Amino acid sequence: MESADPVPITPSRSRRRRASRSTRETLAFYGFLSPWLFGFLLLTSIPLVLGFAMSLTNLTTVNLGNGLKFVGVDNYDRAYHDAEMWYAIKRTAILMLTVVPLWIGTQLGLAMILNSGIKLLGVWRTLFYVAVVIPVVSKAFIWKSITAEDGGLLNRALGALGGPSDVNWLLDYPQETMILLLIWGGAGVGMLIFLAGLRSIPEELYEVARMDGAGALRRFVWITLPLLTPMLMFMLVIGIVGAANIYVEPILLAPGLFGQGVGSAVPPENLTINIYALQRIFIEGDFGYGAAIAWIFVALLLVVTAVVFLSGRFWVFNAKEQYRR
Amino acid sequence: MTTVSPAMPAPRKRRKRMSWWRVAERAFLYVLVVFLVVLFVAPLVWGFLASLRDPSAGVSGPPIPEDLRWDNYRYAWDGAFPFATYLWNTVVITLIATVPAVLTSAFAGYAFARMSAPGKNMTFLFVLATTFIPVSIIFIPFFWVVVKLNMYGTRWPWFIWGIAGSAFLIFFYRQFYAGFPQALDDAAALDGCGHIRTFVQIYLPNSIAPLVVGFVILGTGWWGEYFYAQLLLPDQTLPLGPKIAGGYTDPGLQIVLPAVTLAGSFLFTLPVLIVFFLLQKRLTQGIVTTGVKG
Repeated sequence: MESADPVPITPSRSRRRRASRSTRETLAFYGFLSPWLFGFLLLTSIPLVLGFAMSLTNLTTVNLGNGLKFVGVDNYDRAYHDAEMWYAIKRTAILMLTVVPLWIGTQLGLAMILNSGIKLLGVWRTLFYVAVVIPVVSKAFIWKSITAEDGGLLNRALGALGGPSDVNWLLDYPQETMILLLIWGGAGVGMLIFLAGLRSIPEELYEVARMDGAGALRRFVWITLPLLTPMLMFMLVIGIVGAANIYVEPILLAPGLFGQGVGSAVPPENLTINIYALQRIFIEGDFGYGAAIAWIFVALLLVVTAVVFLSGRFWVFNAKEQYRR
Repeated sequence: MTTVSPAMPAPRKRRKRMSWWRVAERAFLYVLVVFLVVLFVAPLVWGFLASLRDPSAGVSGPPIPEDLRWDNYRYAWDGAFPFATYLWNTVVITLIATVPAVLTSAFAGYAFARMSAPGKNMTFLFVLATTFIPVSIIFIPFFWVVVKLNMYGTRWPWFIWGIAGSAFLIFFYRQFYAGFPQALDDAAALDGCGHIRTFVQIYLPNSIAPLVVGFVILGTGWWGEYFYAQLLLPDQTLPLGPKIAGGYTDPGLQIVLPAVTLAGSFLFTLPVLIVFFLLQKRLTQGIVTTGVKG
């Protein structure tokens, strides 16, 4: 973005001024960013470098003082042969593959309902959104009371519909239970973002399509969806990263007594890679190995998002390109 | 629909022709929206009802408990631990982590949207990349940094998180400020305003709604945060998140009290709900009008 210079007085003077202006602009830019840069350095870069260094050592709670040594890629090699780590990666993949489409479907569906010219829009919007602001700890306790084996709301509803009414959700279907919680608590923000996207589609396009006799389904497939693809891509990437980084919900939804923190008995179905790495770190004190697992996970996540992002060439509608032709 | 003036007969006719279909469609839409709202609100209502049950029993029995145990809330407030103290801790932590973050994110968003400098795109990629980093990589080295800086057991890390801002908000404000007309910058430049004055005097006053959005989104997250608090803070400065997550037991620590724990959860949720309902119009509209575009 070029910022307009004040009206130049003479050519030579203006050139000198422009040079100093751009230096000043650069300084100002990094000045504006400095708080973020400071935090990035302290909270992200340094721990990241240290974390990588850690993953190349045999660091544990035992050899913190002495016996610490560089072990090269031993931790990575160990992870490669660790069947439980691959199991955790599988669980994470399953979670992502279920929760991301469900998120996007719910968010887009709710946004389309809100965008259909419905009355009392503000009321519905607020009620759909309200779950987002509830603290995750409270959400988890509410969920425990809903999925309670004896008399929980979910079992009552199932029973009323003629199904079984004594399912132990937290123990027998932990991942399904968690996914329901994630959708309930995570649909609101995306709904509003999609609503913004739907609002930005010019009404004339629909008018023209209606005149051509296109029904609601065809209008959705040929106008709404293509014009929403940039936003779908955004929500897809956010969803993938968000789903991959889940770690609080499995801990809080672990069956049994209340909140034992990282040490809680997370059922194997909810053993995401993040939880697996945290358990190696906090329960076994195996810092180096935990860090190595986390790095493998980041590498995989980067590959997945890069593939999704690059696939956009084939399905994301690019208005600029269209107009240029 | 009955007020269509007789001067315009054509549209009236058309509307009449498709009316029964339209009415059915509308009716279906409202049934659907009410059904979905019930699905989204039912957990809250159910949780609230469950918080009024017999403290040591489960949730079996009639859906609405016959004997409403409001004293669960009193026990949650001062029975196990002084709720007010930890509530205050939560307020402090939320404010020191949120208020600076909203401002610095707005600063950064402005810089990315309205300024040009070498390395800008690269830096923006770094901002986005931070969202990829899982807690399991960061935590131990982060803990080490916190200890080395003598910040273990203090609230300093929250303030530094605050200064660091949030990648999501930086992105959000960048989108928002990118939509401002260039003429605004030019006019400010002609008046001799530098970037700081342009931002503080022109952009900031025009972004109240997005600032509120940022405050609520980030603030609700920090309000409920419990993982880092549990690992970094001593009991007397803990926020409510870890306290509530620990659950309530009877004074003899013999039995867990699910209903009281839910009562505590609702007391913990109430302040955010109040703030949300006070600001909800600004919030929900703010996100829609700011328009995060991919």
